[in-house]
Amino acid sequence: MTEKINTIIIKNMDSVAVVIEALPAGCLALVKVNGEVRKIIATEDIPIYHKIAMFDMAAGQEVYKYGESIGRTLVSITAGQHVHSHNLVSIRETIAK
Amino acid sequence: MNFLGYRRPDGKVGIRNHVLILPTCACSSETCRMVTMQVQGTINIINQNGCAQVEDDLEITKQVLAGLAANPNVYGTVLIGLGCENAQPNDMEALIRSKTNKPLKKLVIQEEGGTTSTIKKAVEYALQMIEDASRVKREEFPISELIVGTNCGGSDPTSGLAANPVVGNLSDRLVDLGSTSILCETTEFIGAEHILAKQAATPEIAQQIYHIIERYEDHLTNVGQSLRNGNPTPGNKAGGITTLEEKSLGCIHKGGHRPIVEVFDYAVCPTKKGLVIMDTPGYDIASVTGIAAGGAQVMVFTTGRGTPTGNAIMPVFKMTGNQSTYESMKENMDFDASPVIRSEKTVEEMGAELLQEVIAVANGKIVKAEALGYSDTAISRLCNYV
Repeated sequence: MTEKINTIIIKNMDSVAVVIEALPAGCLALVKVNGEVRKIIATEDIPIYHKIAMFDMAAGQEVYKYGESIGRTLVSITAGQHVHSHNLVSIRETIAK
Repeated sequence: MNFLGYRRPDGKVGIRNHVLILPTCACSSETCRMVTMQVQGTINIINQNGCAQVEDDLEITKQVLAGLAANPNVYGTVLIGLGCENAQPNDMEALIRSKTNKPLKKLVIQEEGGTTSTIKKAVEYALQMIEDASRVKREEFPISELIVGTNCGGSDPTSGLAANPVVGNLSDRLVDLGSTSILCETTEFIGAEHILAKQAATPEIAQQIYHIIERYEDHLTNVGQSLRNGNPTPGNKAGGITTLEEKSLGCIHKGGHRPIVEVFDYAVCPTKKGLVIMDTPGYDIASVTGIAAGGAQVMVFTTGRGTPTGNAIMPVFKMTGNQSTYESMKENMDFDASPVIRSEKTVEEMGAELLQEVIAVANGKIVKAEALGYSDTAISRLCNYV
C-alpha cells in the first residue's frame, strides 16, 4: 500500500515542510525527502499550507525553506511543531538601518 | 508561434481595442466615468492623483497617465482635464503625443463650461473613436511582440509552491520565443535579492537590482516607517506565510530562470526582449497599473487567498495554486495550478498549458476580470499630498 504524501518539502535541506492538508495533532506528516518517504508526527495542529518543523532547532537558529533562509527561530523548536509567527521571525524586516 | 492583434500607427501591437477616457486628475475622474457610461465600449480609470503632488510624484503620475494612453491595447484617448491642476492638460497632451501618434482628443472642464457641456463633446469624440476603432481588424503577429507582466497578490504558500513556479515556466517559454516578461514588486525581492542578482545578465544589472531594493528600504526609513507594518499582510500570515523573506522567495519564482537583461523604473517601457524587472511597489494594484503604463498587453496574476482584481487596459489573467480558493472563487479565477501541489501535473506541463491560455487571451478570449468589468487603478507615490 502506498501512503499518501500530505506534506511537501521544497529543497531536501529545508528545516520546514508545507502540509498540503490540515494535520491534527498526533497525525503523521508524510514527506518525500531524497526520494524516500519520511514520517514526522505533528505534535500540534497544523493548518493547511502552514509549515511543520522537519527536525529540532535551537533558539536563534536560521530556518530554511526553498533552500534559503526565511528568518530565525525565536525559541527552540522540536520536529513536528507548527512553525509560524509565534516561533519564527524575519531577519531582514527587523534590520535597523 | 503567432497571435492575432491590432496594429497601431506607432508600430506597436495591441490585443484589445479600447477607447480610453482619461482623467488628468482626481477632479476630472468622475466626468470621465460619466462619459464611459454613455458610450459602450469605452473605458475609464479613476485617477486619485494629478494635483497637489510634489514634483517627483507629479512626474510619476504624468508618466503613468501618458503610458496608459500609449499602451498598445488602446486605440485612442479622450483626455479630460479640469484646467487648474498640476498635471496641466496641455502638458499631458504633449507628453502623450511624445509617446504615440494614436488618435487623441483633449477637453478642459473649466473651458467647456462645466460637466454637461464637457460630457456632450467627449461623447461626440468617443462615438467617433469607437466607430473608427471597430474598423481595425486583427492581424497575425509573432509572439515576440507580446510584453507580459507577472504579478502576485493575496499570496499564500501555494503561490510559491505552484502558481508562481508555473508562471516562471511561462516566463521562460515566452523569453525563448523572443517575448518580454516583466517581473516586478520590488518589496517582494527583499530576502531573495541574492538569487535575482545571480540571475542578472551583467554585474551592472545585478547592482541595479540591489539598488532598487536599497532605494525602497531607504525611502521607507526616511519617513520613519518600516516594511514590517504592512508586509506580509494579515491574509498572507493567516494563509501560512510567516516572514517577508519567505514571501519574497515564493514571489520571485514568477520570473523563471532566464537571465535578467534590464532593470527600469516604475511605468517605463522595457527596451529589451527577455526577462526584465520593473521597480514597482508590492501593492498589487499600483504594480499592475505601472506595468500597464509600461506597455504590457497582458498581465498574468497569481493569488493564493483570491482576488477579483482587474485592469481597464490589460486583461488580468488570474490563477491560483490553492484548490479551495479556485473552487470558492471560480468566477474570478482563470486557471487552476493546484494539480502541481497534488503531483498530478508537473510545473512544465502546466507552464505549457498556461502559454496556450495566454495566447488565447491575446487572440481575444475574455478573462474573468474583463467580463466582470474590473478597472482597479492605483498610481504609486513617494510621499503625502501637498
